Amino acid sequence: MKTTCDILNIFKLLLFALIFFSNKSWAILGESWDSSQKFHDQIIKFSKNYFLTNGYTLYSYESVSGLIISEYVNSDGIVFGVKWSGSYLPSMDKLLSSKYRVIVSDVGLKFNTKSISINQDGFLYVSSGRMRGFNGYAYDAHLAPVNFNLINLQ
Amino acid sequence: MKIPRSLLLCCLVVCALLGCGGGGNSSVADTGLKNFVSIKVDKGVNGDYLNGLFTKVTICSVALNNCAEVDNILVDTGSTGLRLIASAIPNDLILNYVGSDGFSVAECTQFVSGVIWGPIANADVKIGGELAKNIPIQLAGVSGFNAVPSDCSSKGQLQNTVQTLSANGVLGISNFVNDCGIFCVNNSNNSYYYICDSKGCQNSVLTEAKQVQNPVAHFQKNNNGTVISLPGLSTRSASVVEGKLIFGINTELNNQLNDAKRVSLNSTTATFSTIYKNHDYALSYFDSGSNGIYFDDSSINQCADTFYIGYYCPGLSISIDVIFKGVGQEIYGYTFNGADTLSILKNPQFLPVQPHLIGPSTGSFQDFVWGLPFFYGKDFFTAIENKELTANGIFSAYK
Repeated sequence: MKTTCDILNIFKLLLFALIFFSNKSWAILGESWDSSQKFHDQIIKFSKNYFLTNGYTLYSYESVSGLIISEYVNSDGIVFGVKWSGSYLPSMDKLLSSKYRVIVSDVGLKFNTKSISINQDGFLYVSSGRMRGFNGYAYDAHLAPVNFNLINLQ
Repeated sequence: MKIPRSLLLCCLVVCALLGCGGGGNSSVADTGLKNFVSIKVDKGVNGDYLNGLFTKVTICSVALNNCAEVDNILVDTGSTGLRLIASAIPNDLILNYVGSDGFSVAECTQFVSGVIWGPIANADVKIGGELAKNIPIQLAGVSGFNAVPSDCSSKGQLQNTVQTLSANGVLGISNFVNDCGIFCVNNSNNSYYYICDSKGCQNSVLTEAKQVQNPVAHFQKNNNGTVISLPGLSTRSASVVEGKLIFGINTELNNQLNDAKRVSLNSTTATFSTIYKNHDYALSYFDSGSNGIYFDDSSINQCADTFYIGYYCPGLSISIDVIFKGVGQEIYGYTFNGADTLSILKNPQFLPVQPHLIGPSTGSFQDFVWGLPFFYGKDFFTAIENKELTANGIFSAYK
């Protein structure tokens, strides 16, 4: 049976988690996981999974408005992949470092408003969808663990 | 040379039966009807568009009743509502912004290719012989709204000019009545709608009625959907193709479904299943605003040339068999040809009408995007939600 003190401790823990994760932000592809910037929307779910045999850690977030972000972090603490889905597009400057954003902004011969796919020098960026439903991912093969299978990101 | 009268008569009868000059299968002449507007696929306003479908609209100030015609508007079944680049509208056409008491409503419209930012205004929208009175539309590139919120501009390249959008605007004629729906009614952090005053703009909820509206849904009579009618090509590519955008479904002689194949769609995402090589691409959609047919198949070579990245280069033309499966479980077989992108765009040099343009999608093997190449040679129906026609759910259809 839980005592009043136990319940108080659980409450404190929940309060801490709420404060911490409401200010939590995404990490940026190509940068250290802890060098993240603040995200404007509140996080309501968070999970962390270790895939040690495959050499990476997966962090997943869901915002209050339903945007889901997954971050793939290698053993050096560097984000090598990000994945998103939701009713709106995430802010790219909170997901990709500037060197990747330059590649994405120069999409070339596209004229395609609903699907973009870029594969350049180990950097892979795909984004698809329409208002009410978007999904995509970005990945740098040079930063990924040797055994990482891209299917895990897709 | 004198043409025999009987031969001339015969030609006229054949011409009438074929519906000469119309689009796709255009089986019925629309003489006397006004529920349509001309559409064309050409190189677009910047001269470099591939498979861009364009039309013209007329917008009028609700209060002052002055109007302006704007051409080179992209016809897009994959988005909802009319969006215009402000520079394409005469300065003397004053539109009233949605809002009150010093506040106005603005939107961050999101495409994966970029974002459109600008205020929502009420206007009368005339397309062909149809009129949508006093509906919210979006204006982009408006002075006074130059400060784009960072959480909007960070989502993609700003497409607020004719140069960056490669069109004077977008006419979104999807299956939906408004662009964001209940999501923007319930979520203040919706990322789309903002309330702006002299200090800046803040993300905000917005009722469905005030959101940007599908103009077709607000026509007086022919308001339950559209038919895009485009002819097929006798050549591999072309510099221009002309057709019709017909309003209403089963409301006039020229928009009858008859034996069209109906594909029922998910009510919130307008998606259906495409079965390809025994795999279910469950998030497929029809989209005249996409310029190719996009799907994942790792056995088809992607183009290596940097300029053609994002397209397939299989070398030779390939025939592809798929099955459409609607959410109502209806099933249709369909076969199309995909071409080597490098070949078709280099010889002849860069023609804008390309019925065989194919490319990879997201790599998730979930979405099969049926872009404009699918629309050539067809009458393509888009049925709008919340109408008698869609009492059992939204659908698209083709014949």
